[in-house]
Amino acid sequence: MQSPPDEFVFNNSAEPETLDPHRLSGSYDSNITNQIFEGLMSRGADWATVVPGQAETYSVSADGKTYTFRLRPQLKWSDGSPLTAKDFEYSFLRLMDPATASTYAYWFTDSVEGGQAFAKNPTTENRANVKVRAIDDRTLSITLSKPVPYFLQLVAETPAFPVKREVVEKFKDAWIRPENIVSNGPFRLAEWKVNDRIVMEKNPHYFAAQKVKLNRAVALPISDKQTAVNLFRQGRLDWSGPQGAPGSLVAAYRSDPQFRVHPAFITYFYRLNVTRPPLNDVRVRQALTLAINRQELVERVTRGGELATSVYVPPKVGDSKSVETLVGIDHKQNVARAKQLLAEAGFPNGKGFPAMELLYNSDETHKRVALAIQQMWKKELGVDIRLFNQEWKVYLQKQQMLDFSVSRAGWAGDYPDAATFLEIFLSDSGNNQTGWKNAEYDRLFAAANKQMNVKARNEMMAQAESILLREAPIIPLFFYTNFGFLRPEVLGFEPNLIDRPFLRYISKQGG
Amino acid sequence: MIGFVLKRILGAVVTLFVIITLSFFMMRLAPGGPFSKDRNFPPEVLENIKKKYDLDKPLLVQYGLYIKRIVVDFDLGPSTRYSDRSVNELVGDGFMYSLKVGLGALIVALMLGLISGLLAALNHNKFLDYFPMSLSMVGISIPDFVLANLLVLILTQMFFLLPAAGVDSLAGYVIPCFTLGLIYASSIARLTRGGMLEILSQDFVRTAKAKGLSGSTILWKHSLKGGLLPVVSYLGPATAGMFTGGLVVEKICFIPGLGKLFIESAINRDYTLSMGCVIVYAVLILIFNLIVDLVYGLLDPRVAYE
Repeated sequence: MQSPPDEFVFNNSAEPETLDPHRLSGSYDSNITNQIFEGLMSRGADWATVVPGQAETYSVSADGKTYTFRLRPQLKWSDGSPLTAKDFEYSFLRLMDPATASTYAYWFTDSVEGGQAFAKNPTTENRANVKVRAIDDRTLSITLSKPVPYFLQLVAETPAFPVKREVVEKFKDAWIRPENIVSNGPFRLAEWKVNDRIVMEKNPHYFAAQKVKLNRAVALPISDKQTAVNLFRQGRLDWSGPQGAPGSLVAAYRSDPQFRVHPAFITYFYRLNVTRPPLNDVRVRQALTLAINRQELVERVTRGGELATSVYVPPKVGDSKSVETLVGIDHKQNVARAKQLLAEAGFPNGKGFPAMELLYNSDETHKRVALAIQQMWKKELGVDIRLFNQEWKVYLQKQQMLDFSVSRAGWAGDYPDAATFLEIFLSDSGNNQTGWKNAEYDRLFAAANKQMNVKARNEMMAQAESILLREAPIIPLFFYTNFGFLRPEVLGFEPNLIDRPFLRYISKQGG
Repeated sequence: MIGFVLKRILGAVVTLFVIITLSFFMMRLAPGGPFSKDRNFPPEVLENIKKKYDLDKPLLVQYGLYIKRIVVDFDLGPSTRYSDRSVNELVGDGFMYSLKVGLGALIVALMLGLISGLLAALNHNKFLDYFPMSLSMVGISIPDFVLANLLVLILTQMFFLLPAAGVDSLAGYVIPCFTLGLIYASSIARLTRGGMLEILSQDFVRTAKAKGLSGSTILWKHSLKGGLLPVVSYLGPATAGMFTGGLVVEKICFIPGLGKLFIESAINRDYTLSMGCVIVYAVLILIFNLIVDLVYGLLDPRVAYE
């Protein structure tokens, strides 16, 4: 039952909500959309590097505000019709149009000149003022209102993918169906049966089609991890998918040569509600941070190869910076410091510490982590905490309304830059959800994003992160791992931080 | 008889209406909505999306619009999660798979249940009574997710007899149909045995025996109809349950059925999709109950269609 050598069958873990590049939000969606569409810039197999995509070259003005992209000659849509800079212009405007209701439109409306006015009030006049211009068939110019050092990263992601105007306008919401869709990526959508399968076929009109080795790929939305493993064992899957095994079995599977574990771009942390006493006292927050033995947590509790961390932003490829953290290497010293801080805050040995709840969404791993931390706080600080689990949507709502004291959280990066993590703790971010506001943090973040010098910028980002860690509205615990079974004959599937398969680079032995 | 049927259909319509109304409001009472996610939408965007699904209107107006849409247009609306799909389409596709699994399960349940129940009744207090009855006790006690995983483990991982999951081929249906079927078969077996034992101890059976009728005539002609009455009344909800109850089995065996949609839509607060599933389930249960009532009258002359 093994798939033929020119076909790659993989588990995509869940049914995509949509494949519309401008409307999607989940990784299940973008794992497919990234195969059938391509932006001006594209991704290397490691995901972190940006390579030319539909644009052959680009240039940036001296002030870092104007990007000019030169498209490859004779680009085509999957239906064979020509793809021009006009298509990109239309697509950027569609993304930014509030009627499209894109989760990620703000990436561009916040920085493209005229974007904010258009997003607030989509009049014809405001539309005409958005500085995304097709100068000729092969030249697109984008002018920003402020420099964005990671702009090319954004241009390589799904929100910046082009869609074909005639198709979108003709079929409305149904344009993305296999019978209607026209796309421009290395693959095209051949079949999409909800909860059953998505079949992709090589797109002969893709500019680098001769380099694409697979002829077909099948994505299955298998949500039950054990089922995915069972299918892999039977040879029916080439890859068991992102997080493609039951989490509790990762430790046991690690010795299997077909099983791979590698770092993920996701941080597991706890939010502290700083508007609630006693968590409004920074000393209490620091004490809680210091008292946790993270190494023990990943070695004894989660056991999936996670990396213990006291910093918030996960390491990226080619990234080096020093972030100050409260938490030292010696756990005993940390605990002594925590005790002292707690006593200074008026709770010696936890005496008089008010009752507090730890909120998490119902899940076996989250429960085990919460139990361990509950014990650590009890043992080291004498602080009693009650665990409280809620179903996903209830948990989200409680977190949003700051109706919690301590809450379990995770954040996955959208693009390989510290900004994607740090932006959520800006004072006005809807994803902040701690009640923590810090003017210096906001200032540093904004300044870093004006800084085009990579080193100086990283330095500022690191400073901002140091403030976040010192102020401790969050307690970072560990970085997640990606794991799954991959057949040995699969070539070119580099492990990457977000575990996205790039089908254009993948081939199979004998294929 | 026609009057009876019409009356029951009318009653069913009223029941359905009550179910729809209650579910509609209960769904809205649940905290969180379809668009609360771990990544928040910017407020302007959220407003636009809500407008698209009429969620910006007062609740009663939304209810009115919904009822009008399902009654007048037979349209269950667009799914709030799968934005390019209509609920009609999602539910329709899912139902076809659930129907196939349900039918298979029904056949398994009836064959195994009736045969072992009859065997047990005819061999009262002998080995052929104790053995199937102990098995059925096991069948009733094992939860479906344990049974499904056990079958998968043995039949697909230890011995490569069947596909581990998926229903691309007929073989893929074996595990889900057996899992679902075995659980109902156990109850059917016990009900059959109970019903038959009761009938077999009745005076008219003793009379038949005294008249010298053969064992098979007594069984087929005189006892079976009456003995199976408890099974028939159980079959109404059980059949509906098999067509719709594959929630766990569908997940484990990777079947794109209705059960999986239902659970996921409730978790995702996909208002329109979960309402669609509720309606399909409710209609199924009402239909099967009606069928049971009609069959009951055919089997038992004491029941009159009033």
